[in-house]
Amino acid sequence: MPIDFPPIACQGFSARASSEGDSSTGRRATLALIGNADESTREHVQRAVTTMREQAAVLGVQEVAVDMRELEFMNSSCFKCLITWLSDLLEQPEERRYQIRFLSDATKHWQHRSLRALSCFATDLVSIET
Amino acid sequence: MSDEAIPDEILQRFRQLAAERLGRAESIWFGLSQGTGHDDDAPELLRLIHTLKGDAQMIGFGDVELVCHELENLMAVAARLHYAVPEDIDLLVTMSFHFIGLLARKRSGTSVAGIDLDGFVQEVTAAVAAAQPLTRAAERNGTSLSPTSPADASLDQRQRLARAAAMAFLEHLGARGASQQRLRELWALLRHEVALLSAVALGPLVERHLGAACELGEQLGKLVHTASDTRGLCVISRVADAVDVGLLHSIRNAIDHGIEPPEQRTAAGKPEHGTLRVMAEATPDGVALVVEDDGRGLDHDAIAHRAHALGFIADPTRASLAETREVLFRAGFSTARQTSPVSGRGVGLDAVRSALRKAGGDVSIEDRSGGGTRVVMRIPAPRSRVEVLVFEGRPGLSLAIPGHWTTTVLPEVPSQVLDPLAAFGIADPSPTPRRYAVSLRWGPLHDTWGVETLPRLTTATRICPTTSDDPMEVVEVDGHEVLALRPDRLPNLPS
Repeated sequence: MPIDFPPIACQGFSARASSEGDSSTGRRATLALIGNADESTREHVQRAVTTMREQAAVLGVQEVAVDMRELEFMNSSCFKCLITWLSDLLEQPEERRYQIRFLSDATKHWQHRSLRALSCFATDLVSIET
Repeated sequence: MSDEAIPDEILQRFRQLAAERLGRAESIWFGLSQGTGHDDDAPELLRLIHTLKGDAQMIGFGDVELVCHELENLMAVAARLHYAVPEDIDLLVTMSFHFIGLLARKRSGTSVAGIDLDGFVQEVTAAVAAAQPLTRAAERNGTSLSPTSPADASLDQRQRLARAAAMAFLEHLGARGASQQRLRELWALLRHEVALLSAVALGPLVERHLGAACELGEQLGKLVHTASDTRGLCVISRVADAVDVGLLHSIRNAIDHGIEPPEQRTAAGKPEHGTLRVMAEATPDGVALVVEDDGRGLDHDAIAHRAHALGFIADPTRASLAETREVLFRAGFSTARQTSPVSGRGVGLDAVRSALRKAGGDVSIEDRSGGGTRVVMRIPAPRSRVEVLVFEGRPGLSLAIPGHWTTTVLPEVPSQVLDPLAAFGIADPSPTPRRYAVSLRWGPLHDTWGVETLPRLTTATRICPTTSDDPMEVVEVDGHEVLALRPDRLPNLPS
């Protein structure tokens, strides 16, 4: 079953998602966030994250990769969507949890600090790649 | 403390109140950080967090208490910035709310292995430190709010008092006769008050924990006699939290793991009442605080095997007693102890050690002679040391400046060199040409002072710390009180 994620694009921000694998090999999904996530695009960021959360549950993925390498900036208000996502994931029974792998750009300092703090919630579920 | 040790209704009530307080706090924070809140909201926000912290401490959720403490630190920064905070502070505040909610909801038996509490605390500490230039700028621009947390209020009061003390000391240097004596007495009085404000009495802290220990003993069906002797000693306020958590942890461990049930004690030929003692004594470096019990003591063999299973020790059969004691301070080992019905819910001994070491102290565990365990916390004296350049500014009058200034002795004494005390209007009673002229330099700042002796680099003890914006404070060098000046804060320094 392919991921049901209509691409989002507006005012300098876009998001797209893909999935691969199957129940025998393990499903993985990727959410790519691109551009600037600020107050003007918060609703779209929220929609992107919420849709991915829903799809991850529907598909029963083992891992979601969140590709932020082309994300220039994300304000705290948008970043809170990621905190909520992770908090909710931690409330799930262990069999419904999945890994979240952040692909980040080491030259973007804000990504480094924010993701490092976020990973403290669940070092066993969250990993950061640069 | 785990869920089983707390009656269900109390635990549920705690979680319900925590959720309500967090919801309200997050809502207030959102308003304040977005600029839509009211001035009255800030104190309520602080009260909510402080109450939540107190609840957590009372019920034994040390990890919730710790994150609340970090949240208070973030709030102190936010208040100074009028809640117009940088993005990373806003994020960490939000993460703290979620973190607290997560930890408060956590059930015993569920994994906490993935939570990196120390890492989160480090992130908060780094963010608070990074925000300091902003808060200083806000204070310089007069946009700072009055301090709102009790800790801030205390710090602010202490610094103002230290400033007054330094001024009294300065005036006494210029006074003569009875006036000088009165000013010296005033200085001594203010110095004493500053010391009191910097200290937390151990007695009430220990008594509070021993009271809780007795209740805990009753819950676990253990008979415990408690005794304490803290000799009126105090500890510095910045390590008081670490000492508090250290007491909490070691006393709970003593009741839970150390002291045996009455029937086991009787069978072992011991009195059916176990004894838990907390004693403090002054040491040359500060205070040694000892928590000891006459229970079953450390089971080195079991600790070694558990440590081996966790990958901390290669060969459990060859582990020395010192090694098994040390493993109790390993973070992973503390986490594994969460299966205990009482101990281990809070931050581990590793966190206590880390906090004490940061302040120059330490904590260790020993086997008590005659059976039982001793936890020894070594708490540094309420002083800190700094490097200074010390010299005689006038004949017989020692002065100091921060050690990071560089000094160069000029080949000749110019006719116009600065007498630093004259900058404060303290006239020289016997004005004579100074023996040396010294050029002082720190970055782009420089000045030339006339001095009687050449500056020498030494270590001073800060006895009345003022802020780095103040032009002076009083330090102790070789047992003598010395006025330390900050040349960059003196009026009319050329650059």
